[in-house]
Amino acid sequence: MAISEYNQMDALAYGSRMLNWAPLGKLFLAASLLAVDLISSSFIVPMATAVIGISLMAYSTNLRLPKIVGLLILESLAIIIICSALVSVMPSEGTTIRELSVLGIKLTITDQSFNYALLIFTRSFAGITVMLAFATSTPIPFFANSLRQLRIPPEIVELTVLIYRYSFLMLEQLQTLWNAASSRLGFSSFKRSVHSAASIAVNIFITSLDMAERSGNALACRNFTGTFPVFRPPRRLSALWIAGIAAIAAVLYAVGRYTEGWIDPASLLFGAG
Amino acid sequence: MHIIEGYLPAEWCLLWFIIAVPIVYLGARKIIETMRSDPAQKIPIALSGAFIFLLSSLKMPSATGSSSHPTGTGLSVALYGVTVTAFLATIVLIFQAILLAHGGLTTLGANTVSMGVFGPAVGFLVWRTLRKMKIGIAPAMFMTAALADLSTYVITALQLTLAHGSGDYMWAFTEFMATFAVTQIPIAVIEGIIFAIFADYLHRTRPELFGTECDANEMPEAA
Repeated sequence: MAISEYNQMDALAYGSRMLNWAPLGKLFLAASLLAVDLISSSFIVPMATAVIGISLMAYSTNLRLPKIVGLLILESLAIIIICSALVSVMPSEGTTIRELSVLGIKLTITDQSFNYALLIFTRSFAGITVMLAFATSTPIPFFANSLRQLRIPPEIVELTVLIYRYSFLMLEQLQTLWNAASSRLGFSSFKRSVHSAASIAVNIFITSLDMAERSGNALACRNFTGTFPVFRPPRRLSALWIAGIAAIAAVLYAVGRYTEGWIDPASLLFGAG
Repeated sequence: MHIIEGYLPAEWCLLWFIIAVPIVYLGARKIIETMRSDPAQKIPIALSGAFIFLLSSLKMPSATGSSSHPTGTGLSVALYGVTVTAFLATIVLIFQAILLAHGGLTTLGANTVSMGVFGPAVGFLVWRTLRKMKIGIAPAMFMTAALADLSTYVITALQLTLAHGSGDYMWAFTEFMATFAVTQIPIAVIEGIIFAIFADYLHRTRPELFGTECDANEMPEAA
């Protein structure tokens, strides 16, 4: 269930060996890897990115890949496979390697559409590993506080932290109400499920609104001025980080340019192309 | 259904970012102005953002036998408008991308346009039109939530078609619509029903949340 995923990912991030790395550095590293992945049409680049992502994830989680990360990868893989399969049957030029008939509709896979679908698959898989490496090492409050370095207005940073904290408040209530409704057979039929879901949503919103108003008053009583103080602020993005990210991105881009066309999966698997 | 990381080519990612940024920026400015002029508003706004996030976790039964979740933007757009909803949806999409690897960072612009801009804009138009026609809160919210949800998936199908359907756009759009959008019709209807019940409860218990949208003759006796 997504609720427990959310809590477990948060706990995982707080226990990460990469917790003290600059959050903005990690974010920009992930973003630059993903951007180079998209620019390059070589299969080597997403493969290299996936290796980087998996290595970072392994280091972040101390080589103990938790079940939750495995489940998230499997869930994402299922979506990627379906999406890539759709792209592979899109009308395109090239040599036909397979013809299928689904529900009376004739589908054709060409060498070009197959290679493109496989490239999307590797890009997406690499993207998932890089994003999970970031997710398993960066709690949202660390990320939100690091945004101050980018001169993001304090109201936006505060709102980001508040949304995050209220999400937990609501998630806790959701879990309780969901279990209560379930134990009263509130999900025993379609009609009851819809009614229970609506009642839970209303109750959560109204009770959270009351609770948030009380917490707002409590913060005001403590001279809250819109900034949540952090005992140990996250590390700032340094010039070394920027240079390192630029170097990695440049190397990957050069590798992509050099290895373009090296791997032709359609030719290797079907002898086409 | 968010577009996954790596699924859109770089030029399309860039284009959707260019479209999303001004709207999200306007939403951010509106929120900052609201929070500076009326600090008490920050809590309901933050709760609306958290609520959008939460509803992504609230799995519902679907007539197709699978389960899915609402987009949750119908209520927010009825209460705060399109630009604020676009900004809140962006924060939620960033959370989902970097916390759960749902969606993506390079596809953030495209996902923001579908879930944060286009869907809510359709919902907003429906809400305003129906309320001007003196349609009740519950039926108006049903149509708002259902159409906001459905249009989100239609624009997602369009985004995927533009990116991958260069061989035959009509064929590609039909394929994506059949796969993504049509299966969402029962989910959109369920989301509409849930939000209609939700709005009805909220209207009776916290009518002030609907502000001027709520006519005096519709106020419950308790209020």
